[in-house]
Amino acid sequence: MALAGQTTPANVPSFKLIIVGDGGTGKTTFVKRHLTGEFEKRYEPTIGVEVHPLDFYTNCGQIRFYCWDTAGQEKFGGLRDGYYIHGQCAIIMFDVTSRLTYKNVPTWHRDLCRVCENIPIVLCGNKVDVKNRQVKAKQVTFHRKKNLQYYEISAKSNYNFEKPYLYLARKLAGDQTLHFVESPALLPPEVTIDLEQQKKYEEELQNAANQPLPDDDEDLAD
Amino acid sequence: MDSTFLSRATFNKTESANCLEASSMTPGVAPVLLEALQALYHHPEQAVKDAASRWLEDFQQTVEAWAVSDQILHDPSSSLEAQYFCAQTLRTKIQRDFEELPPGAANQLRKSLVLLLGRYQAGPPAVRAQLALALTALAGHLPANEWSAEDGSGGPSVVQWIARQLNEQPSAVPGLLEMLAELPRESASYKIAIRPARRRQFSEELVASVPDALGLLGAFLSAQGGDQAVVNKLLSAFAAWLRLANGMPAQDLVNQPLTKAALDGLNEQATFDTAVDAVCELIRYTVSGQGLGDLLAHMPLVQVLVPRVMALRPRFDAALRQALAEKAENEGSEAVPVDSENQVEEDEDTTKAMARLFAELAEAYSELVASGSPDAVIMAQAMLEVAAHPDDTIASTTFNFWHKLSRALTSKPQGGNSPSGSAGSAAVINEKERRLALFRPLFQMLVSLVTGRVRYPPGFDTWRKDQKADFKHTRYSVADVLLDVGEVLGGESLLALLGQPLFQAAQNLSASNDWQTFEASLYCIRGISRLVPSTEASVLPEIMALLPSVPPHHPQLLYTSALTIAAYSEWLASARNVSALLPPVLTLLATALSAQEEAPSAAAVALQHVCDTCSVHIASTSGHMDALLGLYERTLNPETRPGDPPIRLENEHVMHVIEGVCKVVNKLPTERGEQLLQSLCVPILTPLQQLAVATQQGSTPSAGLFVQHLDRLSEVFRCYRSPRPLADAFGRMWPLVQTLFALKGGDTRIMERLCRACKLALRTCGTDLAPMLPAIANEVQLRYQGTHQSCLLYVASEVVKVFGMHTSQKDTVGFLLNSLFPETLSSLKTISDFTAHPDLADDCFLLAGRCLRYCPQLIGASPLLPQLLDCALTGITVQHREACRSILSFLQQVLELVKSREGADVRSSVEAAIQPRGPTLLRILIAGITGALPEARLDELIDTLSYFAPLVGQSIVQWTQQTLGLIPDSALSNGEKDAFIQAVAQVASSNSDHREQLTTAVDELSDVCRRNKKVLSAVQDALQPLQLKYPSG
Repeated sequence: MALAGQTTPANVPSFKLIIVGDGGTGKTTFVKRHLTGEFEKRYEPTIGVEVHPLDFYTNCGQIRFYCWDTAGQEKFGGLRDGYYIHGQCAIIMFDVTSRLTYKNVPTWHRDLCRVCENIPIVLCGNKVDVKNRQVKAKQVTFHRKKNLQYYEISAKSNYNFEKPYLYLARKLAGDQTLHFVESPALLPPEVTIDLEQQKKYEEELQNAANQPLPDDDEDLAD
Repeated sequence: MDSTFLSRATFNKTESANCLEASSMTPGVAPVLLEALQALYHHPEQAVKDAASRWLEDFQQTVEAWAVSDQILHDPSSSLEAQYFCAQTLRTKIQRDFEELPPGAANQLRKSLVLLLGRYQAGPPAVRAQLALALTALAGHLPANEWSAEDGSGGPSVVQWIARQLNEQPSAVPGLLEMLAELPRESASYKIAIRPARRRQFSEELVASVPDALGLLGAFLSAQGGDQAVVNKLLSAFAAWLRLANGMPAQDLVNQPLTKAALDGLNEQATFDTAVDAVCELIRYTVSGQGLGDLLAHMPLVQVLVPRVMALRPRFDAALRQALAEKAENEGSEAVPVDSENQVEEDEDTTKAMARLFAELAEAYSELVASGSPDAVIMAQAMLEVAAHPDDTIASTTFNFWHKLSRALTSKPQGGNSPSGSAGSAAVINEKERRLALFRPLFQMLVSLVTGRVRYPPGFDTWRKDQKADFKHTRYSVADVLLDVGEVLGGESLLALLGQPLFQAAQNLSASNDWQTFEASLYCIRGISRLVPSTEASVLPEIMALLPSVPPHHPQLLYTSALTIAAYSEWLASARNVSALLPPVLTLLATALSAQEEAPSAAAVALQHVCDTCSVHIASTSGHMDALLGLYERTLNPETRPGDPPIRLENEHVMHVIEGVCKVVNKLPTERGEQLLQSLCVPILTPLQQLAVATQQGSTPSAGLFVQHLDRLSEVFRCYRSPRPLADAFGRMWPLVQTLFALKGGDTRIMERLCRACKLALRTCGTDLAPMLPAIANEVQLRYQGTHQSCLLYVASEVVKVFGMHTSQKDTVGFLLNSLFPETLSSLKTISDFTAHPDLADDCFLLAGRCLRYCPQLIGASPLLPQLLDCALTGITVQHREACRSILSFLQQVLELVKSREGADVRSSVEAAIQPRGPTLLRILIAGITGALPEARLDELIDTLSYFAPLVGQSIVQWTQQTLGLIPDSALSNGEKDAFIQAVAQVASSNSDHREQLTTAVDELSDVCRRNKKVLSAVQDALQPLQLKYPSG
């Protein structure tokens, strides 16, 4: 197949994929949805960098992404853009329940572009399964830039898990018709999500804005 | 694997008089560095990568990294990886560790960097970019006067320094140009470790330099001689400086040669992308002010931008025609003629970029468009052309604009200029109506452009999953656009517009087997239900009459039919002939429930809605009631009735059916409702009982089965509304609940569901559950002792909410709390306990907070309060977001209690508990502010502090002085300490709200103390929040 890139010992074309974004946006969870990893309920910030090989099977054969999952949490942690060299594609993650993480997207994008010129990048709005969404789909316009694609995802529910990888694979292969021939083995979803529900949440949010504050009835179980 | 960097854990922290002097270097560091880089980038083993990453990180912290990096960068034989890493290290060190440099070293460093810019003039670009950034960071540290020429000539500013270097160092020109572009981007960067005051000054210096910078870029532009690569760089630098140009007069930008270059650049393929970015920045500049007044001031530029961008329309139009022709060809239908004269092959990215540019322009000026002036309306027309593009992604670029335009046209006019009174408002109303009338045809056109996109295409069933998902996504965004359209046209008019094709398609439905066209129209109608009043009487009756006759063998059609019923269920309930409409509707839903694919889930949702809105009708018709119970039974147990097709729903959709049936049962006469509660519970309790028995007999049914039935039980508890019958029923099933607690106490997933069921029973039954309270309390405390399952704490929380205020239950609630809290506190003794069990900490302090609210006397005057406070002090700095918030919110509630009327009885004991812990609490809060907690927690810390300060009065000033006194002056200057103490004193001394000042002071303190790693650790080492405890021995 005509993919350019590093080659693993098994002659599978492989690509260095850099995953960046603020701490707590779900980068590690997202990478670990692939059955090679695990989803952890407890949040433990990534220290430095963790490299995970993720394999996908396309109509043109197998490809491998080496996902460089970088630390986003600590202000002074890790080597930051020290990891980016040789990056061939990237994912920028933000958390739709936290406006600040979206506000920082341009900075992550700029840091990436200074090191890796003209690489395909996917912007991912994670945690769309969470009820109190702060960044609405309509407010996300940063991806209109060239070479940037936006997907809403939910790492916990596997929602749109494949999308970012598929986009990157297509760009790297220069083949818009490339597709995955079998679904990667994923962990069973923690929560289920459908767009109906998402729309309902957004409407509720709109209605809630017009209503008096409720009782202290924080639903501890739900 | 025995690499050198693996064995060299740390560095000697050699302090050197001159950091850049290579002689001070520890011999042999450079080879290890190269080895570590090789391992980081290429070694296959994660453990080796980790070690390399740690080594490199440590290296970057050392003083000798300055010299080593500088040396490697000057060595022509070093590898790209080494060069890049060293450039990145120098940049990082200038950003973070500038304070390590001895006086005078900065100047030498600057010279070296300029030399390096020369050396790397031809790249590698990534290295040059880091060097340019390094110089930019230096500009952050060194105030303007440090950038004046040695002979005193030229103005003191970094931009003028660049101007001089450009002349003196021709080889460094590419790098200097990059530095010039980076300056505005870094003007507010928090990566440069400078104090807040310097950051503000830096930003001001750069704003003052905008004319110089634009002048310099302009000079380059006239000298570049047609080199498109240079033009691209200039345009991207121009775009960056525009971010700081908000205060500039618009006319200056109109006259700017760079503005012209940006607009001209749109016509050249080689400069197109950067030109688009620059023009977008120009657009952003024109709307950077506040409201219409500032926009008017920017009009001279707007009047240049709009026609120039709109001049791209013929190009877009050609691309559009071509795309339409291709699409028609693919579908084999008659081709749309392509205008051969205008035919330019546009690649997809260019078409997208034009669409983006049109959208940015139209969105920015949507208010102008709404005013209806012909110059502005062309932007809306361009948006229509984009919306006509067959590529859904390109078409959807316009959707935000329609939303904005719709809002601008329909929002209440702001009474700015119009005189109040009836004449004025009549004029306003007339104007609004004039605008709406002007735009209605446009929005009608939009409807025809978007509705076709929701139609299921031929061969959809063979599409891949990702293609199907994209299609679904398009459908949702079209539904959103239709809502915006409906705001302008009115719900009823839009419904009529969408109804026409529906009725037409209905005629073909059985004849031609074209269900897709009908489904598409129905989908659109369903999407606008929110805008259709329940009085609508011309279109909806026909649709409702039509739906029961749709062919039942297309799951997608059944799906949309069911969701349409759900969407219009309120209309249905208020329809005059509801009793005639209901039977066929319920029959349709019954059919859909046992159909294929997604139809059953939609039917479940619809059933819930119809049961909700039409509950009285259904409850009073015995035939409906029986049918409904039949569906309920088949849903919960698909095997029960062999004669009927089985209903197989995902558990989450089963919930909709349960909720719907409960809604109707709630409307039945009391006695009948009580009877039916039994029928609702039996199909859930029977399998649950079987699971329990099977477990007792040694088999291990999957946890998912328990969860499934417990969730169903919870749903009945949540939706059934009669407290007393439910309390009786809960009493009868209690032995089963106890058995499950005993059998599954160690399984968190099952316990969470079981506890949720108990909680919902408590919530619905309220005090009617009083006879059961001792048994529940006893079970909860017993299970908690053995398992520490945090979900048991939220059962307790519900107990407190229901019974906490009732003095008759004081003993039972007190017994529960006195058992749960000591048990919890004993397992939260150190910060690592909190980190290991954040859920326990979270639920514990949520429960404690609820106690303060519902039964303060049980906590406030008891020894539990000081114990809880000590535990809270230990755990405040836990990094887990929810746990930390719960602790801080508990503390706030304690502090609030002292002032509140409810807390009057316990005031003295609460104060007695707070006072001695005050200094410790304050010190931990300051430690949190200065770095022990993430910056995202600052808001909660400020809240806590602003409750705390007025309560303890002037003592807090003294405590603050003591705490800040521990911090070395090199980290936090005396002036900075005083500023914070002042702010705290103000909050402490008055009753008025000083939150704003406190926020500013806290932000500033946090910013200074987190400015780099060394300062951060110096502050935390001084405050040692984790070592603090009360009572401190």
